[in-house]
Amino acid sequence: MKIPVVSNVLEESDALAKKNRATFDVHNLFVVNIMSSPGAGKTTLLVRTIAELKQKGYRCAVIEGDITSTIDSERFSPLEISVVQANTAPFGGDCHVGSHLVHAALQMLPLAELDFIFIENIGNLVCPAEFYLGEHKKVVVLSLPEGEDKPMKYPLMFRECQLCLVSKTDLLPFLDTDIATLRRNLDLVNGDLEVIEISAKVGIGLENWLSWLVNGKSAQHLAISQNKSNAGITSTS
Amino acid sequence: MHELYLAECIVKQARAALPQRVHSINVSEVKVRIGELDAVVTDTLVFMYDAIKSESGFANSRLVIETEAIFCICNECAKSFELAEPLFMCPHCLSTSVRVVRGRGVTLTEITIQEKETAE
Repeated sequence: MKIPVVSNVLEESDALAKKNRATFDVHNLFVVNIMSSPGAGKTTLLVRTIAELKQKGYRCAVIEGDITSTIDSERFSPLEISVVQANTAPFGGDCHVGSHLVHAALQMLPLAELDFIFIENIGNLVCPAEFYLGEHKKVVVLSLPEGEDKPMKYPLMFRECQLCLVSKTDLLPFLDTDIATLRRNLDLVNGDLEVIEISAKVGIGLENWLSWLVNGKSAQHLAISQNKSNAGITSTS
Repeated sequence: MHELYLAECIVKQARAALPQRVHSINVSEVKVRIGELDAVVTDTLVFMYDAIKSESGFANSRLVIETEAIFCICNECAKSFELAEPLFMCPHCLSTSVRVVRGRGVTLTEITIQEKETAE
């Protein structure tokens, strides 16, 4: 006997991600899922980003995904922000941060006292792209030393993200990587992907990235307000 | 290497889809459809499924995978097309603003129950 079924295999994961999203929106948080290969510079970028946002008066927290260790978490300690270490080793060494890990991390964060949460995913251009965590935006960090071909090799990652930060641009004089070719390849995989060239080390592109974050937060806040307002109109009419 | 996680999700969904009177041990085949964009290594997924199926109660089943080609619709000219390689450019108007409408996601599509068990 054959039983026909049509069901999303990630239904449980997606349902939990939607719960996460509802929690983010209740607290007016803007949540960004940062993904990249290992060593592309996610932590360096986040430390610099959060220091700058703090100066502008924004309150940030980090959910730090790693298979094991607390090395990256410790790098945030000078910033005196909330960091939740989400290690996947107890869950079979998963290669990505799952919505269940984000859900658990949210119980440990002072949500009412935050503006931004950054989820630093596990360094990997394949698996993290597959999973929705409830985040508002997905960002991929692609460092120049990785070369121009990565968008073609990992299309799902570059299709799923709304922004690509081309990082370590201070190394350009020492590399063969051609930024024009890289930008063309990004466009061929996702013509709607925004691209910002950045160097967290020397500060190139930082203001553009910070504006992207702040504008994204404002747009999200506006969308939620409009939804609430529309719901109010519907319920009273 | 998210194939182990996917195998666990497939087993969970298959169990949820079984009619009440049917035990998972009587399932002979679980069929899923996987989008080509998902970059799932199908051999690894089958290997992982076989590794966990006994402890999950699906010991007599095999996982069958069908892959789904990537189809897009162009945001500029609204024409649809199939992708032969991961270059998301409309062949009609050459726009790179396209949306994927098929070929993404993992879907449980069919469960087969052993005939002699269901006849009881």
